[in-house]
Amino acid sequence: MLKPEIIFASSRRNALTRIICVGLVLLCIFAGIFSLFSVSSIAKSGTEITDKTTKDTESFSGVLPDSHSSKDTFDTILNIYKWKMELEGAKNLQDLIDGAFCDDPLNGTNQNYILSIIQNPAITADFSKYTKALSDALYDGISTEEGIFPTSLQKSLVTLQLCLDYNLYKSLGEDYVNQNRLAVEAVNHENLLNYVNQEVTDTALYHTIGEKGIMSYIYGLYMLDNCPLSEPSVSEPEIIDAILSLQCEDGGYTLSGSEGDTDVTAMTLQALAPAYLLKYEKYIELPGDLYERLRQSVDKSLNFLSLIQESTGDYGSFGTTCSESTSQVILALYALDIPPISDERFIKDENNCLDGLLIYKCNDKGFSHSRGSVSNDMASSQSLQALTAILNSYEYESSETINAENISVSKAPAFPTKIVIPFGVILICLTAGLILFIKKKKIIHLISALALGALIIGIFFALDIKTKESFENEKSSIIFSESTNDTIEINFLISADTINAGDIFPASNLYVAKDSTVFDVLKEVCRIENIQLDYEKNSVYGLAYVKGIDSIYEYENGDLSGWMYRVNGEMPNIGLGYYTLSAGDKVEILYSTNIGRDLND
Amino acid sequence: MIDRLHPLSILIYFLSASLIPAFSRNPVLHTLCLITGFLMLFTWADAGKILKRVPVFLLFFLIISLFNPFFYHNGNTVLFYVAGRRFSLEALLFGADSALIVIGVSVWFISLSHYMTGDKVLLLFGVLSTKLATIVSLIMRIIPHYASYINAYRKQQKLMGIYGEGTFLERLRAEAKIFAGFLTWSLEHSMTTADSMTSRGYGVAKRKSYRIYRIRQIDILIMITSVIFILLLGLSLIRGTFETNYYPVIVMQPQGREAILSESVYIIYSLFLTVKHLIKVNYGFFENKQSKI
Repeated sequence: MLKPEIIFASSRRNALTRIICVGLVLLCIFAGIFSLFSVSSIAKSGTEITDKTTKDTESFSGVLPDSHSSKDTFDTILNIYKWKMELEGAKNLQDLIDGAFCDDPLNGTNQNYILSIIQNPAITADFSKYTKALSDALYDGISTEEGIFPTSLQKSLVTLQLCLDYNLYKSLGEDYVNQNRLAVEAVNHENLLNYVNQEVTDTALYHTIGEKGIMSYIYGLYMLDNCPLSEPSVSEPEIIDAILSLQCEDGGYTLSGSEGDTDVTAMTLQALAPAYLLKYEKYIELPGDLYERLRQSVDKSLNFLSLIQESTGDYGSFGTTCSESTSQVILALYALDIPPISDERFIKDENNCLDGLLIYKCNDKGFSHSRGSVSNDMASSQSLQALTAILNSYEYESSETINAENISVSKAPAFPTKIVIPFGVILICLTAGLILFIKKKKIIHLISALALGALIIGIFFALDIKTKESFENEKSSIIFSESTNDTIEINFLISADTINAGDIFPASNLYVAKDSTVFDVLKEVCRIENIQLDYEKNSVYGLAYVKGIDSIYEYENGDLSGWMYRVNGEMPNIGLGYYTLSAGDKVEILYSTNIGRDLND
Repeated sequence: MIDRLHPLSILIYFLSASLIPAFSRNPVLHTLCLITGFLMLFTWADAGKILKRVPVFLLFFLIISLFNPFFYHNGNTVLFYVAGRRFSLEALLFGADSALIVIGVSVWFISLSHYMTGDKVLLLFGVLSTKLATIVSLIMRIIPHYASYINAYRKQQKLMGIYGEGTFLERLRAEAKIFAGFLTWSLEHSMTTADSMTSRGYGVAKRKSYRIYRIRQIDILIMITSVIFILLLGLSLIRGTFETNYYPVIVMQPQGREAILSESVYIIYSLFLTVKHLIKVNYGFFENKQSKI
């Protein structure tokens, strides 16, 4: 017989352990619910921001040819701003203007961004800080020994004037339209003189126009058209005369040589447009024969541009097609009051300029310089101006305007999978283990449950799971947009021509990091371009074997089919994970149906 | 009724009902196979017993489904990336479809193993060789018999206090003693068996096996239906009616008249024997005549 005390003691101990266990289980459940709520609240706050911007853009209407609606265009524009914001690490568009653009206000690319915001009727922003920074930069720059580059000075003055104009418009509101035009101009003139000193205006008027070839004439004309400055060293008719005399035989304009170049021609047209359309009073007084020459010249240039358009809708400069040329042509057409996307002269094979420009849109929402390349700052800024021009040509109704502060990077709330999932697994296993422990009173159940949890977490971390967004938007450490000291230029191609599947990745020049292997580049290209890739890799030996690209797999087209690679026309005898690239290599990743015999013919 | 069928018709029916959908690549047919397989379970097992098996099947389903996308990275709809490779919806669905096949066939085979008892298997193999059938049936009887004898011997030794306590060496010695006793007993037992077989005339003339199952009208009916079903579905399989392409996007063959016809034939065929048990239908003419006393 057991003594009563012992029975009592043991039952009390059991009760105690039971209470502790139940308490722990309840604690776990509460902690789990709490963590779930906190995660969902993060997700909610993230979606609110995105909702705000999308709601605003819904107010645009207007269906346009080729299914490019104004809303699509506006979304593309917003996405470029977001791309730039991510690049500079800015919170919202206003932050970008006050931060990154103010740091380098004389930069032409930054000025392109500023101009596109000013010209966009649906976005309002505050440029007071930028105006101050720009005038300071002009003041500082002009007093240095080298001074400011003539075209840069001219463009900066135009940007400054437009910003001031915009500030005035914002402060006056509706009165701006109603007031006397001359009075406004007088205010503007005073404003400009308040912001820049005599030295700057003198330099701009007497030492820039015609100093540096055709571009200084073009920007000079811009400056005289937009800024209320008078009595320049070279007057407007003289500038127009000088520009017209520089025209090539084929109707285009160029910096050097005898054949017209797309960019220069388009920019010249933009400069000549106000005179051509007799936009300002001063152009009505132009000599009759000069105006006649101007008309003929502009028509000839337009013919030239119409002739050299590619069948895909885009334009080339110096032999290769690029987005900047296309953007400039769109701007020129808009300036000349020609509808950029519906004029028949500029539609080739049912592709208009906008189709041509959208070829260069990258996965990260920016625009690239050449086809299949990565996003580029200058290309994005000029595409932005072109898209804004197209938006203006749509004549859509915008009932609401978005403040620049509301355009923010709609970062999808980074779901903290790395923390939440292990935490959840541990919680579930602990709860299950505790329940078993209470039921069967064996500590081994608790330990084994925790061990199972640890195993699952170990597998989770070993597998390196990433969400789609975080994987695709990762910054590349292999492929770069610009050439630096640590990069080499190679030509890269993925093709399955042998089974008539065409080029999966067309031949392009890429800047890749030094010492990168063929496999590194292939992986990065597939990641950036969102091409399917299946491979086996031994992390110890660096051995890699490609099984399938773009859902075309080995053995699919016969027993001898599979992926092979060629460098400079020869098939190396080592795996692509070992082949280190050198500058100028021509790499081809090819699908063969007969272990490479069909590739060499 | 099924347990009284001829083993040949049971074998043909179960194999064709479960394996032919498995050779097709049509998720509809796989789902039907699983459902009718579960219904077949109800003809002989309790609902409770069947429900106990469900979590195990679910676990199997999960493991097989998840297995495929972790090792095969084809497919256009990306859910997330695992170690730089895709985890796609298409691969997951392909895994789920293969899991359906595996579970469907195993559910059917659970019923098959219930209905194909040892004697029925022996009857089928007895056709090939009567001697082999005899030996197999002897072995099938002897193994459990010997096991129970050894256990009884050990228990008896334990009760007498000879075995069970002491060091490892002592226990080993006791075990050897048990084995020696068992060996003598089995030799004696086999001699008795041999004697009794000789006395009953074993080896006097050519041996025939006795069959309690005969091919009846219901068996003929089942076999004819099976052949028709196999031909119909086999034809559809060859013509590619049930093809489904999973990569890079899921393209199922349009469910035309032929596919719907084949699927309805499958439903009728796979419920052919189940329905009788579930709602007590009488096939009348094909039933064996039972005395009504």
